[in-house]
Amino acid sequence: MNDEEILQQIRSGKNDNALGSLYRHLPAISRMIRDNGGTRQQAEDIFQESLIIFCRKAQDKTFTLSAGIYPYLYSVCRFLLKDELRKQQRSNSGACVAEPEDTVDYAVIATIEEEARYRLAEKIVTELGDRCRELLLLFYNGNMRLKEIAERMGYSSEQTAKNQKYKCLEGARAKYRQEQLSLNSL
Amino acid sequence: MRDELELMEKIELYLTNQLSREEATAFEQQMLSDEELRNGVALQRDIMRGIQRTSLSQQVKAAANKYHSGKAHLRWGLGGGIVAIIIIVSLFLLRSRDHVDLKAISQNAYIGTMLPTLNEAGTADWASADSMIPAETFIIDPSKDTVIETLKGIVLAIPANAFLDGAGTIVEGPIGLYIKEAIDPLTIMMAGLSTWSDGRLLETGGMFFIDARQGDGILKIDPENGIYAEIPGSAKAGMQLFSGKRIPGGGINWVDPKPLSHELLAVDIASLDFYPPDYHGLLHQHEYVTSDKRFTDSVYYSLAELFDTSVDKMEGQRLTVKQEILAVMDSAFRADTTNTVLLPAGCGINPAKIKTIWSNKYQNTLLATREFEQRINLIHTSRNHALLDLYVANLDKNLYEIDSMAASIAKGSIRKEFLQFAAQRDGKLRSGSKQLEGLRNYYAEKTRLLTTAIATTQNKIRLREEAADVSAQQKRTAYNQQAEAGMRRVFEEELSVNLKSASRQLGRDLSTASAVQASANPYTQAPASRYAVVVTNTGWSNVDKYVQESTVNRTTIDYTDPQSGKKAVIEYKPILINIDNAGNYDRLMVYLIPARLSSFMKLDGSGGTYMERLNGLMQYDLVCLGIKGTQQYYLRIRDVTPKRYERLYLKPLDARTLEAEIAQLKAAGQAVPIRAEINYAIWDLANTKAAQTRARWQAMIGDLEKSFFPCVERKGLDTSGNDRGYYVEPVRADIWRPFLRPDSNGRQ
Repeated sequence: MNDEEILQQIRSGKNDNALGSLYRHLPAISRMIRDNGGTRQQAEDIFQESLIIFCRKAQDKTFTLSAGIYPYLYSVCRFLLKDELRKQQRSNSGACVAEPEDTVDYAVIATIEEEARYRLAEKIVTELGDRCRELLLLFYNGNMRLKEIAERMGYSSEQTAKNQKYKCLEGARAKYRQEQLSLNSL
Repeated sequence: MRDELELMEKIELYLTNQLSREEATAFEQQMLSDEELRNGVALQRDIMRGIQRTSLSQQVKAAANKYHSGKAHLRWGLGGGIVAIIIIVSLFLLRSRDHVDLKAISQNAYIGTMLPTLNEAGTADWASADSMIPAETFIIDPSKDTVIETLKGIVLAIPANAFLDGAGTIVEGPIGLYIKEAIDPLTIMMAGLSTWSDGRLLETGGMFFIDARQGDGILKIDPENGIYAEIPGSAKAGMQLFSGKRIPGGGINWVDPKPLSHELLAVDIASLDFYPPDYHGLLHQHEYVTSDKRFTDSVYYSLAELFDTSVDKMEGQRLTVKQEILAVMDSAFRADTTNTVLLPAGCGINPAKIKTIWSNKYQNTLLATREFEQRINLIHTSRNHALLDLYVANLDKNLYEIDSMAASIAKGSIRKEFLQFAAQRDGKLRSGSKQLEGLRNYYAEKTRLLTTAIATTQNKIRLREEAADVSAQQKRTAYNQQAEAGMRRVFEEELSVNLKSASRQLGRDLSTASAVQASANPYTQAPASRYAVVVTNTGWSNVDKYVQESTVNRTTIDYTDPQSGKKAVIEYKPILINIDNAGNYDRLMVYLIPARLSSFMKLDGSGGTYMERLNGLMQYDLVCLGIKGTQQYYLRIRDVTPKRYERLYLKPLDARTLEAEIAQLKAAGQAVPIRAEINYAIWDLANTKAAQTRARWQAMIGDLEKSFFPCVERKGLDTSGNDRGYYVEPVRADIWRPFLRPDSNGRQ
């Protein structure tokens, strides 16, 4: 599959094949990450994050690949690694070490920062109670109607399910806001 | 609370584009003026994106699992309770038919979410999950070994003749294999699959359903000849295989748990990484390229030398090169009968052992698995070679058994990690190798031979380098002696010229006093033979002394003879030479070639600026030579005068043209020494570069040794990085100066 086909597949919702094909870039990127002070596990995590970012970007119709998918993933991973190492350094020494930025791609940095917020939100959602999580996932990702959900999960009515959904959402919002505040105060 | 919910509903409608255009505009208007609302919208958008992200993450993780063929951990489970992996395996018989055609298969069995009338057990019970998850269909020939992989990455290895018909006889002819899978949490939820087992909640590692049919005939798996299934995501400790039992009401109860043992899959051993964990990082720190495995191998394996105790190391003693080479050749022969003595446990893993196992000999063994790759990482960290020996000695055992043995001899956190490995219950290779016994002997013998061979090679390299160092040292000494002789000659000749001139000007012969010249020459202890004349008349030494000082210090004298009133003047005037782009050259040499003398003066300077004083009695040519890499640059200016020469440009010349240019200096008898200068500069440049490369290499090797084998020490050597007896002679700048100007008399 060439880059254009991969982009088309993702846009038409066929992520399975596209992701499988994108994994061929893992060894090169993993090597780059390990050569720059990352571990194998970090390489794996960073690469996965770059795929998520790429899939989300691909949904944006205005997104075009100037140089191809590999260079895009590569530069995203570089920035993610830098972030990661900076965090590590901060927790190890208590001080933030400034380093000269090489080619700064502000669009990539903005995307990464945006995705970091979603990652936090995802973490909050996965840490919700089982029922809340199931309700939200079925509704938003499973595109199931509230009526079906009510039947499936044993709520007395559609309205109850709806109220429950908002309560769960509110719970997630509160936790998310709290985490954001504590992150910002670091 | 109520208002809050309504607001959230409104925001959600806005975010999902469900508001009418007017409503949306009004809402945006409101957002402009209401910061709290803006924040609320941003917050909710993030949460909704976060929810969407869960499915994206699942897809990416599924792709990762598929890529690693089921090696990554599942990180996301449903709820707590006891841990289990749930798999429905359900293949039972009903009837068989003698003859089947392919059409019958697709007509009668599963199509998408449509189900046949009877289930795999021959009853009409179906759970709701059965009708929610579409089936994948595989048509296979049951008389052959077959491996299939499903969309979500379940791998099924089906041995030949694994399916039986209702009468219990082996099925022939094409059969249909139908698989439904629910690996990720969303699919599991959507299918309404619960994870209950007799009232207890399970953590799922994924669920799948298999049915096999030939026409209408329902087949079963031969219990003697099971199917091997690999589920994406490696089993967590304690996961078990459950069978699903449909219960009234459409649910499934999970019963009959069996412990899992994870069979291993051999991969190409060259694709694995057996280096110590930080190896690539360390090489990278020293700015060596790490992408070429031939290079990384050769560096790493060369460290095996440390483990060789059969070769007597000569370091610390100053033997001649010849003696050392003889000693090494001798020990190379002796090596066959001496055994490699193992260093105490905890000293690191002998790279020769890694070289032995990381080879084709160990393809298709327990060692050629990604599971072992994880172990070897830990073994390197433990620095205990006994752990590695354990795995190599037990290739026929289950990996988890060896993990337990390793845990029993390991200590502390390493022990804990081996216990964790053991808990994964990684089993043995699917098709075990038959020559395991032979491999065991091979390991011991090969490691010993490799260690000795590597040590011998390393010693030979070292001796060769030391021999090169010695000859380089000789070459330098010879050059320095020659350079000194040249300087001495120039001084003597110039002094002679000055004395003659002074004699002429004063109308007296000063040459009889010339013996003093020799002792005045700052470059010589013994008098030069040409001027070794006994001093007979001390009366004139006054003038001589001035002339000598003038020549040594290159300063003008203006002497009036107190007896005759005659004047003797010898003028020295400064010349300044500035070379354009001086920083560009590896070496830059500037010479003044006096027309009347037999040698030349090499100028001292830095940053491309050179200064000297010209003797007014002589004519000089200026010759500038530059070297950059292998390219040579040249400039000659005839008859320079005392002034500033700014931004001189050197022309790049090929060797032949340069040779022709230098041949022109022959007239003044300078060609030979200048040519020698160039040749020496080129050689010296290359030699210095080689020494730097070697020093860099040594620093890297030193670092690797320190990190991987902290308790190994080299006998009689310091550990400053330059620790293999290489000695880089520092170039003494003062040697190059044509004339030494003693600082003490301050007459510069």
